[in-house]
Amino acid sequence: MEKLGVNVSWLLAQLINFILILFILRLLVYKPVLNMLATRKQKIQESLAYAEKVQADAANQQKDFERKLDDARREAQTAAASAQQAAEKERQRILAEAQEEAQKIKEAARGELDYERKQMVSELRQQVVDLSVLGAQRVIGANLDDKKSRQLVENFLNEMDFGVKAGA
Amino acid sequence: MLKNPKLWIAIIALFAVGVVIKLFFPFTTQAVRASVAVAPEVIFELGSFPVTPTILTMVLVFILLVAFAFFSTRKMELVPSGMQNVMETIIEQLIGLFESIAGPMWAKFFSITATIFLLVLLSNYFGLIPGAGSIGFIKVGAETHTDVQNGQVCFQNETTHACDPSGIFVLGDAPSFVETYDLYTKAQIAKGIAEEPHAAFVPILRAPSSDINMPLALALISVFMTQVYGMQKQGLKYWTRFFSFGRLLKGDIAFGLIDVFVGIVELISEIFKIVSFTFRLFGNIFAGEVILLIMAFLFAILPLPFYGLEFFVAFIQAFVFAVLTAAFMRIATAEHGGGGHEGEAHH
Repeated sequence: MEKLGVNVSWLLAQLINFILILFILRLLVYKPVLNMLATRKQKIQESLAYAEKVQADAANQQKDFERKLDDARREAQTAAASAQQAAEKERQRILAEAQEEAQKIKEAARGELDYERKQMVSELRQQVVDLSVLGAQRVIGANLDDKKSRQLVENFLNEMDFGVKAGA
Repeated sequence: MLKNPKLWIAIIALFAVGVVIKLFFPFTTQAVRASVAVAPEVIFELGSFPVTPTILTMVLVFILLVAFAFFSTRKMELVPSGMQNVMETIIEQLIGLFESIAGPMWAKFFSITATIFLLVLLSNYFGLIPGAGSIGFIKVGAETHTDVQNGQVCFQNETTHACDPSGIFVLGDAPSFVETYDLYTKAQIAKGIAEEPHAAFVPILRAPSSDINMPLALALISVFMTQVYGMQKQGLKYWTRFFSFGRLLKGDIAFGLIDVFVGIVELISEIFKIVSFTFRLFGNIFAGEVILLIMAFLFAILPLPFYGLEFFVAFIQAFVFAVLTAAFMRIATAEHGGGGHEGEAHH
C-alpha cells in the first residue's frame, strides 16, 4: 500500500474534494439545468399544442371561408341566370308587343284602305249614275224623272255588279 | 479546423516562442532524465499536509469545473446560448446515457454518476496537457538527512553534501543534473563511502487519476452509495443479498447452504468492486503516462499515435467508471424476485 502511494491524508483530501464538487455541481448545474430542461420541455409541448390548435382553427376558417365563397359564387350564378332569363322574357315580350302593334297598324291601314276604296267605289257609282242620267237626258232630250231614271241606272249597275254592292 | 487561420497562427506562435527560448536562453530550462514513480512525489508541505503534483492538479480541476459550472448557469435562459448551451448539451447527453442504463431510476443516481464522469474526464485530460508530467523540479530524497540551507533543501551526511538544484527542469534526453548526480553517488557507493541518496524529478502537474488515492476515493464513494441506495429502496431486505439464511433456517439444508454461499460470493464481489474500480482507472491512466514517457524517449514523433490513444482512453475510463456505477446502483435498487438470485446479473 505504501509503495502504491495510498495515504490517508491524500485519500481524505480526494474524498472531500469529490463531495465538495458533488454539492457545488448539484447546486449550480444539475438542479437548475434539469429544471430548465423540464420547463423547456413543458413549454415546447404547450407551444406545439397551441400551434396545432391554431392550425386546426385556421383550417376550419379556411373551410368556412371556402364554403361561403362557394355560396356567394352560386348565388351570383343563379342571380345572373335569372337576370338573363328575365331579360330574355322581356325581350320576347317586347318583340311580341312590337309584332302585335305592327299587325294592328297593318290591319288598321288595310281597313282604312278598304273603307276608302269602298267610299271611292260608291262615289264613283254616284257619279256614274249622275253622268248616265245626264247623258241619257241629253240623248232623249227630255227631262227624265230624276228619281225614276236614277233607279234605272242603279238597277243596271247592280246587274253589272262590280263586285261591290252599292251602299255597302 | 484547417479553415481556421487563428488556430494556425496560435500554433505557429507557440512553436516560435519555443524556438526563441531554445536559441537565446538555452539555460533557462534544463533537460533531465525521467524517473517513473508509482507513488506521487511531494512538492511541498502545507502545514502537515504533503502536497503532490496530483493534488495540485486536482485543485486546478476543481477550480475549472466550478468556474465552468458557475459561468454556464449564472443567467439561465429559456432560449440557451453560449456556455449555457454547452453545459445543457453535456447534461442532456449524460441524462440520455444514464437513462439508458439505470432506467427510470436515473434521476436518483444522476448527481453521483455525472459528477464522477465529469471529474474523471477532466482529471484524465489534465494529465494530457503538454507539460503536465514533463515540467518540474529536481528533489533530493532521503528526507531523514535533509536540512535547509539558504532556502534550499539539501542532502547531507558525513561524506556527501548536495542541495536541490533550483530552477525549472524539462524531461528530455540530455546530460543532466540527475544523471551526473546519479553517476557521482554510484561511484561514491562503489567506493563504500556513501549510501545512495535519492534524487528525483518531480513534475508540477500530473493527472490526478494517476495517483491511486483519487480512483480509490471515487470507488469507495461509488460502492458506498450503491449500498445506501439499495437500502433506501428495499430497506433491510437489501442485506439478504449478502446474508440470506432464510431457507437454511426453514430447514431446507441443501438450498439454504447454496444461498449462504451465494451471499458470501456476493459480499466478496462487492468488496472487490472497490479494487477493480480503483485499479481499472489508476492502471489505465498511470500506464498511459508511462507509455507516453517511454515513447518520447524512444523516438521523436512516436508519442503522437499513443497520445491519440490516451486521449481516447481518458474518455473511455471516465465513461466506464460512471456507467458501471450507474449499472451497479440499478442492480442494487432492483427488487430481488423470489429467491433473490436476479442480483447476480452483474457477475
